[in-house]
Amino acid sequence: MDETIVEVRDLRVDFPVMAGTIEALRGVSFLLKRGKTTCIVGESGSGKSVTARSMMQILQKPGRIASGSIRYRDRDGKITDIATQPAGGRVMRAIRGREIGMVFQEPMTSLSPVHRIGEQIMEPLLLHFRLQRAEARERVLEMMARVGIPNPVQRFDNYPFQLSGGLRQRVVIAMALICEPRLLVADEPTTALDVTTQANILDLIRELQEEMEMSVMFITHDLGVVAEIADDVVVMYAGSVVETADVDTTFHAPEHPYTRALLQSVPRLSADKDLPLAAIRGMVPHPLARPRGCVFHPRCDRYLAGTCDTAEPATIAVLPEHHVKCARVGQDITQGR
Amino acid sequence: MAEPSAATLLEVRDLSMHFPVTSAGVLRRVVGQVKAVDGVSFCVREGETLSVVGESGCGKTTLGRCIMRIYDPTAGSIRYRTRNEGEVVDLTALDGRALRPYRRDIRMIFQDPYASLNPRMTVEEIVGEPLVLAGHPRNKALHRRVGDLLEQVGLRREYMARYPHAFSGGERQRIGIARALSLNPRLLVADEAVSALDVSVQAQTINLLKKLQVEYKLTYVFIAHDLSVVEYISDRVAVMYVGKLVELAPTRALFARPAHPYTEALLSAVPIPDPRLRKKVERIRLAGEIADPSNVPSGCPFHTRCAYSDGNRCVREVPALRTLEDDRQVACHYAETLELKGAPQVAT
Ligand SMILES: Nc1ncnc2c1ncn2[C@@H]1O[C@H](COP(=O)(O)OP(=O)(O)OP(=O)(O)O)[C@@H](O)[C@H]1O
Ligand SMILES: Nc1ncnc2c1ncn2[C@@H]1O[C@H](COP(=O)(O)OP(=O)(O)O)[C@@H](O)[C@H]1O
Ligand code: SF4
Ligand code: SF4
Ligand SMILES: [Mg+2]
Ligand SMILES: [Mg+2]
Repeated sequence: MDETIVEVRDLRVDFPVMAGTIEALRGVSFLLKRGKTTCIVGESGSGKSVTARSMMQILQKPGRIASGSIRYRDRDGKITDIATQPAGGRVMRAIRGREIGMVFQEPMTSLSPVHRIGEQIMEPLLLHFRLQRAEARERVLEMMARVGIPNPVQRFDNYPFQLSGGLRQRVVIAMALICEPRLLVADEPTTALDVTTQANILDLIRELQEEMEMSVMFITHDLGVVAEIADDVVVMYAGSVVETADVDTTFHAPEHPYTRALLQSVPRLSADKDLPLAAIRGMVPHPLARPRGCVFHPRCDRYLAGTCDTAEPATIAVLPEHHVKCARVGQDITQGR
Repeated sequence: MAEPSAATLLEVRDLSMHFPVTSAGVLRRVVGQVKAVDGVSFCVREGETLSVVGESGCGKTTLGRCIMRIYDPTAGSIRYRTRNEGEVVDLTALDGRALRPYRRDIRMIFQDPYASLNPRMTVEEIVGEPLVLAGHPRNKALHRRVGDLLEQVGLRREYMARYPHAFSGGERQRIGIARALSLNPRLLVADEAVSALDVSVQAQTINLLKKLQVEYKLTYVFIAHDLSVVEYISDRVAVMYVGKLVELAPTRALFARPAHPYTEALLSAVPIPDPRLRKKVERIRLAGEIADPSNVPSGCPFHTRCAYSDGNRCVREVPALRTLEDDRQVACHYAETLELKGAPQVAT
């Protein structure tokens, strides 16, 4: 059995805004396993970033965790519920950067423009460990080499603006990994990069994960990236997890109509170019005007009046590790197609 | 879809756009040149979709802006075949009033559906503006025309009175497309027109662009970085690397048998949406970063990252863009002898 490192259960996050309360997460549950990569995939606004930020207690205001738990199991097997920890408290300061490292989409948001990159990578190290500067510097140079930054000694003194986008993202990864965290949370870390650079960064994350036996929670909207790196997949739609499964099941035996539709709407090399793409009709609902019942029902090709638009569907386990939130799952899904 | 023999609508010849690099401080002396586009030549055939791909900063947007004459290219010509049978004009030689009729023929769709629409104008004003600027009176006929255009792109006529903020990203992109269509253009330059959209909405927009192309006999220059989208939508693909065209070929041939090492590397980096292929395909990884267009390497601009560089001729001699037999252009000294791998899931 795989060891669980994080268990998120029934997490609800609200943003009380002028026009009402945005329910960014509406009862999100999933597991992260030790040494595995879990991809969170979904379209914009589905709640991927809010999930990531909740796990570090760095929600933007006015966001707040309304209920639910984020149970983190540390090196000694001790369990902490991150959801109930104060953001600025001692426990979160000890977890952030040390136990859980984080990488964001846009590297410049994590870097200070006025400090040398070497110093920035060193900062979390000095914060969490009692180290002499010289020793810390050695560790930084080693990590810079490991994430593929050429000439670490010279680059140490560079400022972020002197680096390309790909190198900056490597700096941010070095910063996130310098304390050898047990979990890396990466929110669209390659979305702003070119495919060639993305391929290198994905390789790097994969290698480091193996070396360090780290768990990775990787957020993306790109199904190609998911297929390349995930062990497990969590599919989100409009604040809910609609399906969780291992990567092979997600791509080859998905059960949720949204997952199926999403997979069909991606253009694939070698597909028939004369056929239109299988687009999902309509669009993601506004967070303040979500439909009743199943949130996906106005766009779903399996929609059944009376079943799908009344109550929110429960999440059921079709297999021990395959969960689906759809009222019609189990009914022959090929019917009526 | 364009036949190989289809007439040339636009011919770009030796086009360059060099931006001056100035020193900091008050004097602002010119200390160098950014060669954003450097000696690019290709044809756009009537009715086809020609995609332009390449890494960030390789000059795709600059090329599009030169075609639109938003920029004044520093060298070269852009020969456009007008609606008058047989007449060809060089757009780079025209200005102001003389350029106006062709500005109606060649329109642009922008990347960012949020930034490209004026938030203080209604949808009716946005879509109708090019018509009004072209002298169309603000009357019932204009109102009807805007309504028709909205329906063409799959939006309801009643939306006309609304402002852009009331629309989602995909809908705003449709408004941008309706605006671009208002003057019955022949050529649309779409710069990353679907890149910012979510997959489900992206698929709708791509389907729409394909439908409109057939209905209006449109020609597209489609600038993009997502190679799966490019493979789906284009007849031919042009690959750029630091301001230069390195390969141009019919889509299928380019994906199945690239002739330039950079194309091979690009194709190899595309993530494949099938976990079962993950371990099966051998990937080429490019070392280093894209070259700096203000300091282009000697010889072949790709030699600093090319696995096949001979370290000699490749470093000294700029490879010319040559035409091969299969309707393909390529700029590599060894294009004929290298055996390069295509995209993993495309059968040869
Ligand atoms: N007005 C300008 N002045 C100076 N340099 C410029 C200007 N516009 C573009 N450049 C430079 O020219 C090069 C090509 O830029 P361009 O915007 O055409 O790239 P691109 O291929 O569209 O990239 P992306 O994929 O990031 O959109 C870049 O190095 C850019 O910094
Ligand atoms: N700072 C904020 N203020 C108000 N609403 C927010 C804020 N951040 C996120 N939200 C809302 O939370 C929901 C999920 O957002 P997010 O997690 O950023 O989506 P994504 O899946 O694209 O990362 C959205 O409806 C979004 O509008
Ligand atoms: S509950 Fe109904 S509407 Fe929702 S995904 Fe299942 S079939 Fe579709
Ligand atoms: S000319 Fe030489 S360096 Fe350039 S792509 Fe061809 S083999 Fe590589
Ligand atoms: Mg996000
Ligand atoms: Mg661009």
